[in-house]
Amino acid sequence: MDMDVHSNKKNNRNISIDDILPAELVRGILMRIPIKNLVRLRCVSKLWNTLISDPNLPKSHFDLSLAPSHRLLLYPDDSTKPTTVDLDALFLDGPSKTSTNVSFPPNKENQSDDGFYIFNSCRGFVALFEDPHYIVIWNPLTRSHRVFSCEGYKNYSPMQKLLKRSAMFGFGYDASEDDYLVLLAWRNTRKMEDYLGLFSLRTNSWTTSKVTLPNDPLRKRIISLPGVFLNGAIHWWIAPRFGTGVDSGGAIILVFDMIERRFWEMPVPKEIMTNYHPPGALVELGGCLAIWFTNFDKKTDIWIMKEYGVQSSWTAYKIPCLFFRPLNLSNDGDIIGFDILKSCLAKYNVNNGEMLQSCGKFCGLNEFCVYTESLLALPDDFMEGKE
Amino acid sequence: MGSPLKKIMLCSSEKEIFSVEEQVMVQHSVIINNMIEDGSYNYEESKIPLDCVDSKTLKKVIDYCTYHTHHHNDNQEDLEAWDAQFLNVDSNGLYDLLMAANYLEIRNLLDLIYRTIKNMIKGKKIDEIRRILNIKDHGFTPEEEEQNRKEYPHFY
Repeated sequence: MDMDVHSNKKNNRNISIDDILPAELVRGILMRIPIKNLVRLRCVSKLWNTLISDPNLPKSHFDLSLAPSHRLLLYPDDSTKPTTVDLDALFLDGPSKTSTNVSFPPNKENQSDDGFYIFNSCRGFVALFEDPHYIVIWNPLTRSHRVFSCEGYKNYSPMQKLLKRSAMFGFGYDASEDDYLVLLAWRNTRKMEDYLGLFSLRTNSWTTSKVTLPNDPLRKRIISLPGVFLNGAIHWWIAPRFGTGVDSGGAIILVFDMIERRFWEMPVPKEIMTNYHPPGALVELGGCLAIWFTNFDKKTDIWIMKEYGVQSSWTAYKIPCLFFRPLNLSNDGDIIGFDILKSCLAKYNVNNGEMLQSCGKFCGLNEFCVYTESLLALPDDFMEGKE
Repeated sequence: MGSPLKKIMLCSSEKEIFSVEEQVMVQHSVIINNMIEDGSYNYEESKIPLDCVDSKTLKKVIDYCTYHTHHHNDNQEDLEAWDAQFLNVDSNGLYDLLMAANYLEIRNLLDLIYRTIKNMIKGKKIDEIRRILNIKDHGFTPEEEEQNRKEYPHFY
C-alpha cells in the first residue's frame, strides 16, 4: 500500500492549516460552513480564497447539503417590505437578530414591492408572480434574478385560475439539462381541454402543448398551491372539491417528473384519504414529502413519507395546535411552523408533540415560502453579463 | 463465548506495530474493510503500513474506533461528551487526526473533526481565525491584504 506522505513537515510544531492539509481537506471544512458565511472567509488566506471562488463550489456545496441554511421569505400585511428570517437561528437568537428586510427585484413597470405573490422555491431560487403578468425567479442571497412574461396566456388567464386554485403552478430543476423550468397547467373551459405551458430558463422561452392529466385534476378538484419540488419532481396535492361526492375519488398526489417531462400519480395511503375532508397541503420536511391537515380534534396532523416513493413509509405525527402550518424540520429534527391564531412561529418536538418554543409576531401569513440559501446562478447568467 | 477475537496489525510511520481487533477497524475504516473483504490482508504475515500516520495519531484513531465499537448503544449525550474529550487536542493534533481519518476513510471521525473545526471558527473575525488555525502566511500580497482590510473592515 503506497501513500501520500505529508510527514515532511511534521517536526515543525508551528505549521498552519494551509501548509499541512491538502486543499481537498480544507474544502471539506468549507463544505460544512453555511454558504452565506463563506463570502467572509475568502479573506482568511489565498488558498481559501481560491477554493471559495471556484465556480463549481456553489453547486457541490448545495448538492452535498452538509450545511444547508433555511430561510423563510414572508410578506407581512403590516410591513411594506418583504422579510427573510433565518429559521436555523431564530429560536436561539430571537426574531430581531435573525430577520432582514429585502426588496423584490426591480421591474420597469413596478417600482414598489406591491403586486407580488410568493409561490415556491427550488435550490435557493424563489418563484414570484408579479402583476400583471410576470414571473420572477429570484435568488434572495445573490439577488440574481430573471423576469419573464406569461402574457401569451392572457386569454386563458392561468394566473386568475391559479389564485382560484383551479390551475397548477410549479417551479423545479431538471438536472439532466441543468435547467430550471416553470410549469403552468390549466383548463381551457371553452374547448374542455387541458394545456401545459413550460418555460425553460436556459432557452428563455415557453412551449405549450395539450396534455391529458391523470384523474382529471383541473375539473373537479382543488389544487393546493403551489407544487413542491423534491427528488427531481414537482408534487401537487389534489383533493376532491366539497360536494363532488365520493365518486370523484379521494385525494391524489400528482407528480411531474422534471427529466422525463411527464405526469404520474402517486397513490396515497387509505387512512390519509378517508380521515379528512379539509383539503390539506404538501410541504417538504427535512428532505421528505409531507402532507398536513387541520384535524377535527383541533390538532394538526402531519404525514411524512420517510422514504421517497415507499407507501409503507408514510408516518403520522400530531401537533397539538389548531391552525398550524409546518414549514421546516430544524437541524435537531423538530418541526418549525406558523401558529396562525397566535401569529407566531413555533417549534414542536415531532415525536411527542410537545411545544418547545414560540417566537415573534408575524402577521398576515398569506405570502411566504421557505428556501435553502445557495450561491447558484441561473443558466446563462454569465453569458448575458447579468449581475 | 466463541472463538478468540481476530486481530490485525497496523504499522505507524515510526514502524511501531499496533495489534487491533479486526472488527473494530472493519466497522469504521472503509479502506481496511475493503482489504479484508477482497482478501488482500494475510493474517499470518501482513501488517498494514500507514506511512503517513504517526504512532501518537494512530493510537488515538484506534482509541476512537474501539470506543465507538463497544459503546455504540450508549446514549447520544454520553457519546458526544466522550467525543469532545477525545478531540481536546491542539490544532496540529487535530490536523493529524483529520488526515488519518481521511486516509483510512473513517467517515464518522472525519465528520466529527470537520464539525469541530467549523465550530472553532464559527462567528470569529478573520484575525482570530488565522490565530486559531495557525495561519502565519496567508499568501496574499501586502497590497491585496490591505485592499481586503479596507474593503471589509468589519471582517477583521
